[in-house]
Amino acid sequence: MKRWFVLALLAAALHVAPALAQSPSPAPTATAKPGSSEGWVADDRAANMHMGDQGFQSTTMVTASYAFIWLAVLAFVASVWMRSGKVEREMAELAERIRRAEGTPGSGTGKA
Amino acid sequence: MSFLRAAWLVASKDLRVELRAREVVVAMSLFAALVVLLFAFAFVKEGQTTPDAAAGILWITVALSGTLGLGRAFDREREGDTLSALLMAPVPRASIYVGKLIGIAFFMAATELVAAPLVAIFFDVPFGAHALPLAGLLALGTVGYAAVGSLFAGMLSRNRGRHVLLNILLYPIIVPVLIAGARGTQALLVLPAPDTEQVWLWVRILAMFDVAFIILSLWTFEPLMTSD
Amino acid sequence: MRPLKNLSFLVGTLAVAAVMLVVPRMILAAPVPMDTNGVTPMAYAQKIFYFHVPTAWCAYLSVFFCAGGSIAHLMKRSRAGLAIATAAAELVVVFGLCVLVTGPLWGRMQWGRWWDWTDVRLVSTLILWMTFVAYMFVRRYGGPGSEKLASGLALFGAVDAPITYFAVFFWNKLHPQATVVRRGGMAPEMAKAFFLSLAAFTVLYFLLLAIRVRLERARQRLDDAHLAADEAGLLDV
Repeated sequence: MKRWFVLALLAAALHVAPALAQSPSPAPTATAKPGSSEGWVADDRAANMHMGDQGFQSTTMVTASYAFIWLAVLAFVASVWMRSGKVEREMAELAERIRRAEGTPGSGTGKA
Repeated sequence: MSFLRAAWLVASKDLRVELRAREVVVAMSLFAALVVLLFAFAFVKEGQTTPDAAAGILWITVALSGTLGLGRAFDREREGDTLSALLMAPVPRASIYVGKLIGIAFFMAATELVAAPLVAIFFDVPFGAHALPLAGLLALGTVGYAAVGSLFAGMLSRNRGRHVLLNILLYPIIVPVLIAGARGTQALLVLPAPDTEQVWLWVRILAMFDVAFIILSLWTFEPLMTSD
Repeated sequence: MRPLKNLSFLVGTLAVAAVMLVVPRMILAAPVPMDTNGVTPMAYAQKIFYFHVPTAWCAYLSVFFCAGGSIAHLMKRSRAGLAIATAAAELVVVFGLCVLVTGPLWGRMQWGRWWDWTDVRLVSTLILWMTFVAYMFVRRYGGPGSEKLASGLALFGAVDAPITYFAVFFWNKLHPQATVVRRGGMAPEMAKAFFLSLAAFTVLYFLLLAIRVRLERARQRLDDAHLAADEAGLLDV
């Protein structure tokens, strides 16, 4: 079971390290060349605020997408969780039946 | 017995049974005609049907009647448990599959001979003028369809829910073939002259699907048909 | 002991989940695309890219595992292979759904409509997703022998999707090219956020796969135990 924690820790390190390294640094620099009309520019939060309805809608879409992915993943985990619970209950039930059967003389000889 | 000879024997057996009973092809053709009629009703606009829809409708008709034929053809094998007998024959299992594929492809071709003229008439499209390339597209599409269809129908022949399952299994796999066929047919109907380059593109894509499906089927038929 | 094991799985998954909340910070900080009109309000929707593409990657990875497991099951009768295929098929459906939801959300802003039938990626993903929904249906309602049926379906699905994708991609020159990554590739900050997100999703994927495979193996053991106990005549009482 340890390996799951190792995996999780690994994942944690993977995420937190670059994020922490990133946070104190100033806003990303613009990469659009001065002359060109296309490219990538820094996401300026302040400018974003003035983007009006469409800007708001864009941000909503991004948030909605991310939220949806998490809902789907959590729903999956919950379903696996419930199904393993069911399997475990059935296993316990079977073990109980076998124990009772083995306790009864004359029934069953094999070992399950 | 050689592979091809065994395959041909299985196919000719199916065709001979069909020539005597005529049940499957008649049912498929009748159903195909009904599907075309239904679509014609659905797409009537101001007393006219829409020619744009013709290509798609032709291919959907082929797919729907093909499923009907597949179900019936394999039910026939099941009734006398002849499929098990066939599988016991001392020939490569894959040759039985190829024989079944050829049989189904012939049934579907016969149905298409009914469906294509009906679509041409009801939707006012000049299929007759492009008969040869259309036949090529249909032949490639039919082989791809029959390749997947006869494998799945064969696998399902012992399953209780086979009629439901066949549709659910077959359609997701076959949709790309139907899209390719419909797009190719559409390119054929472009006015004033067919878009030859596009038609060739779709012909090549269909051929690629055929090759991939047949190879995969030959590879998996043996383990898939072995019951345990 | 068992509930404890189960709990640690949940904790492991939740830890990754919690950690992945860090990723959005980087995504927020990444630069936005600019075109001839400057930065348009729609440009912000481009950030869906940072999780749309990783989920698509996970879905396709899952198709690969499902096909591999199915081959092992069909050719070698491997039950571990079947368990992997079962788990992977479910994850194709989960991640495929994420792709199919986030794609149109982005398309709505980029193209002004939810769905674009000319976009071969979207269409082929939809077909693939349907195939694996069918896989789950067959496994659930197929009756005896459905494992083989499903394995066959998975193989065909796995062959189908790349052909659809590459055939149209390579041969149809009319098809619009990807507009997600524009000319000049990715800016460094963008690449950093993207690959981080990709790594995070991949780790998450393997965790989810592991817990689902584990469940399937437990089910198989339960079935075996049932059969063995029945054969030994222990269940007649």
